[in-house]
Amino acid sequence: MLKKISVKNLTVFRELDLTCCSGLNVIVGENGMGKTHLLKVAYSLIAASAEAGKKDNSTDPTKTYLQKAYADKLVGVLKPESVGRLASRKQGRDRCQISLSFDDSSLNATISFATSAKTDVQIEKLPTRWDEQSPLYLPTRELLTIYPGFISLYEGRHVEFEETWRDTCLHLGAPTLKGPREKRASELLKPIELAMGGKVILDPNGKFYLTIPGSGTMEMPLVAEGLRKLAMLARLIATGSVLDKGYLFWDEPEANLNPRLIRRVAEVIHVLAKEGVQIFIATHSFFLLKELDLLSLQDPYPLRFWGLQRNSEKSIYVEEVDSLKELTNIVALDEELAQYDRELSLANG
Amino acid sequence: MVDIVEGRLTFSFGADWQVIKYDESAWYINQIKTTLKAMDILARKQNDHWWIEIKDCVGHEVANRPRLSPTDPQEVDQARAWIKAQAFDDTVKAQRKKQFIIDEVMQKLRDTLTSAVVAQRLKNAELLPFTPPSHTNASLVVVLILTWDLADYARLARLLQQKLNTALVPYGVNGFVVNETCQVPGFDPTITRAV
Repeated sequence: MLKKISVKNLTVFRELDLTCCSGLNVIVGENGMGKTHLLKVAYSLIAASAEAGKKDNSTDPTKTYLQKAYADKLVGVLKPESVGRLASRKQGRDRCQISLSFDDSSLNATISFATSAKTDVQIEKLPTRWDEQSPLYLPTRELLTIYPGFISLYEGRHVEFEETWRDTCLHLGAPTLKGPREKRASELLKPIELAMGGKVILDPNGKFYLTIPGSGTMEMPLVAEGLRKLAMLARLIATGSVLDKGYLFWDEPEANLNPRLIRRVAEVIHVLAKEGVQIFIATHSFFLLKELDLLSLQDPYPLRFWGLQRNSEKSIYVEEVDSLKELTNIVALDEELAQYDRELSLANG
Repeated sequence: MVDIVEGRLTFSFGADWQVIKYDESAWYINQIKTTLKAMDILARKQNDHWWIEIKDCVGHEVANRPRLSPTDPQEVDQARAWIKAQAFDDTVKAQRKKQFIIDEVMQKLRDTLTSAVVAQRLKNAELLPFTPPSHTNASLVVVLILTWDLADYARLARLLQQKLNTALVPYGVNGFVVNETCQVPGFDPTITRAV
């Protein structure tokens, strides 16, 4: 379990420490506050470790290997021109530092790099073993429609797509579960398949379809965008990619979904957190926040909110709370209330 | 049965309630003398206390604008910019005239708590039944009765209730925002509107 994320001079952050809970960790903040950067940085470091541990010729972690592996993953996922571009430029010669602390301290890692760093980072704290649990990163958009041929394109060409897309496509292509784990996945899939009106299948031609009882199959590009996103989640559950992961990073789960579907997504997130998956999401949706909070009242689960805010010096700081009502600044909520005043103002000339 | 009338609304409480229209009490008028703001009704059923603020805005929605938004009106921003341009900002402060409704309720709650502490110290018989929330862990619920002619009132109430409960966190108290159909668990006066 990830216990703490600490960053210094990373993109928009001067210094930030985030204490994680074992269940669901929710990042809330305005655009440009660095929510996605936090998700991607934590994902990159964990993924680099997990990928190295799965290689056939894997040895114990070394500085020589990791200084390049971490840099490559950060560049692949965040897509700066060089890793040094992730270091804040407002801080003169200060170095960027990123630390991840785990309940198992042998996984702890700290890296640093200067703004001039090209392809390597400096290892300040070397993990003594690889992370056996893989992370999964779900981007804001669905990937089922780009899946056919995407992995070979990514591996064979210089393309500007994020590496998270490649990583998640690999999970989408995995075979579906069999045996007791299939039963567990089926339970979780029921409300999602009900909302979609069908099941997701991967055809031998490498394309995804939605099979709708009584209506046949529909090509994924013809399915509504919101339902495609739900379909991606369904596929990742069916393959065990979500259930088996130690960490799930999900950027704006609410994107392209109507409130009814957001409710289904909140239920899935709740179940996964209860099942022991450590989840990190970034969101703008008050509706999703409220659903997650209500689920916590009905059936408590470890829940932490990180509210990112700017202080008077324009530095970003975090408000860490365990319930939604303790979060003092929710832009989506304030803007909805301001909308009532504007509506009244317009209605009365 | 006790009837409390606030504008066009009448609150009828059952015999098991102790109720006071706080801002019309002798204590508030003669002792506090309006130096503090006041919640409208203090009510008690056994050891559970309910402090109620009433904003009956039906028909007066325009006059009550902009109470619903926590964001300051743009005129305030313009005034602040002018004050700064004049270099008056060390001596002059601009603020909105009509407070955000939740800020107003919180000010009334703080002032009523202060008044309850004083009433407890001075052993004022009229107010004593309603002072336990100021010095004991007696249950206290804050209810904002807000009437507003709006098709999606429920959504507005839900958003305001979120803001109210965030503001109440430091006080360890819960709150509700409802209209005259008032559905708050355990709070059961009959509310009627004069035609």
